[in-house]
Amino acid sequence: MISEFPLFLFTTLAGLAAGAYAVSAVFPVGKDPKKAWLFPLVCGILLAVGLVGLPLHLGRPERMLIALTQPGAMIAQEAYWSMAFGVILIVDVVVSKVKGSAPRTLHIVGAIAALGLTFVMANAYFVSAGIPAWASWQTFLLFILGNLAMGAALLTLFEPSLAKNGTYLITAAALGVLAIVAIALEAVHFAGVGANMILLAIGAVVVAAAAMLQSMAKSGKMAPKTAALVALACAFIGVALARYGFYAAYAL
Amino acid sequence: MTRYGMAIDLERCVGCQACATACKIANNLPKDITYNTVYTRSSADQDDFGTAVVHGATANDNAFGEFPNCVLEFLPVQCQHCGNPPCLGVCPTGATKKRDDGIVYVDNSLCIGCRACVMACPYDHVRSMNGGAPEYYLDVVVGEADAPTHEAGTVEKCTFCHNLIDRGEVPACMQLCMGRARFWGDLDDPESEVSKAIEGRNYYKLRESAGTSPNVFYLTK
Repeated sequence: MISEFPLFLFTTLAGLAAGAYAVSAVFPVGKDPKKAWLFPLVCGILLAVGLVGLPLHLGRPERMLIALTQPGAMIAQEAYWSMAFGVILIVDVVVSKVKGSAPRTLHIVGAIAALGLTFVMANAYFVSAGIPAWASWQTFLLFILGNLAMGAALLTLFEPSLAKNGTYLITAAALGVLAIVAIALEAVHFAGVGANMILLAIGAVVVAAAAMLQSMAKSGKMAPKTAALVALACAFIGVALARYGFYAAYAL
Repeated sequence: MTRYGMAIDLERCVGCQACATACKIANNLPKDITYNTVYTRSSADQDDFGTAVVHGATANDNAFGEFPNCVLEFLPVQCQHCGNPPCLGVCPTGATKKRDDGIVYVDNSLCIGCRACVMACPYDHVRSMNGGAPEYYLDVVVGEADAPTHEAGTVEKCTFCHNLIDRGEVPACMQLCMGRARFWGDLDDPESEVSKAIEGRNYYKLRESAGTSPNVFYLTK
């Protein structure tokens, strides 16, 4: 197992939640008032499970609280953006449960917090001058587009009508293609600095399968529900493989 | 104002590893902890450290280049005590500190072992992580009585032996250097040993492109 597995856990699960919430600002989910609370709740659970990775990453987890006193540190920034995003998710769950839906403004503010979290996740590795494979602009694309691609694929679980929405399917497929480009650019950079890029390449292929399935669903060549579920699995596994390969470039 | 720094004359370094050994003993370093590594150069690239047995190489005496133009050179590397240390800003607890005299050190009572400093530092292997309880080669404590303590779950690195210099001595790596390749002192004092060693000599600093402004000077021909 990679030495940075807790960070992999954090950025993959919290990244999935952040990506899904960001895309949901454009393609709203939870139109059924009885289930509107489910999407922010699942995002919150993904974020919470991912956040366990932050203290686990530390040699002395009990000292995570000290880290919060240094806002300039990357791990503190990730924690603070996660808290902001988490608070918005909690408010969304409560408001959706009570009123049947949350105001659009809340979703937009949540999307900004989600994108901010994604940005600081990437920046934490961009500033790692000691690891040439990470310290490059491609790292931003890898995290931002990877989170958005798998997040977009997640939305159909909570809003089945999206699986038949042509605009959504084209957008999700386009995000998948952009994520593939981002992974490929990172893979080229990895190869340039002598790091192993095999998992990145495999991840790109799996994400390509997700984009292809979404395109097939758009053109009616595949059952929308099946395509949506398999595309979600492919997008998540592909991004996770690429991210695992990313973290494998650093061994303690 | 005092600004401590070191000059290492690569024309005088014979790769004897005495500085690395002195450091290990003076600081009572555990088995897997290294503050100071003497590399064997494997190319003419100044930023390429080369290889070292302590980091996986099989030998310390491999020349580089093509026969008959082979070159055997050594490169001692420890924390560069940068003027602009990237480890300082990324430390989430303030455990990485910089003294007024320029010495960068880790306060292990605050370190949480997140390794942000390891990842931010452009100088490979100058930091070590105490992953588990420290293990030692000897059953007895060696080195200075006021040497750094070693705790599980914390990161360690060269302290420029501030425990020694605070009482008027010099860093341990200098004391045993048989080639007299190391020079230490206040870079802001033109009369200091290090300033005199640098004056009139060609020198370079490691990986300056990272913007770290290191305070270790490597003297060359």
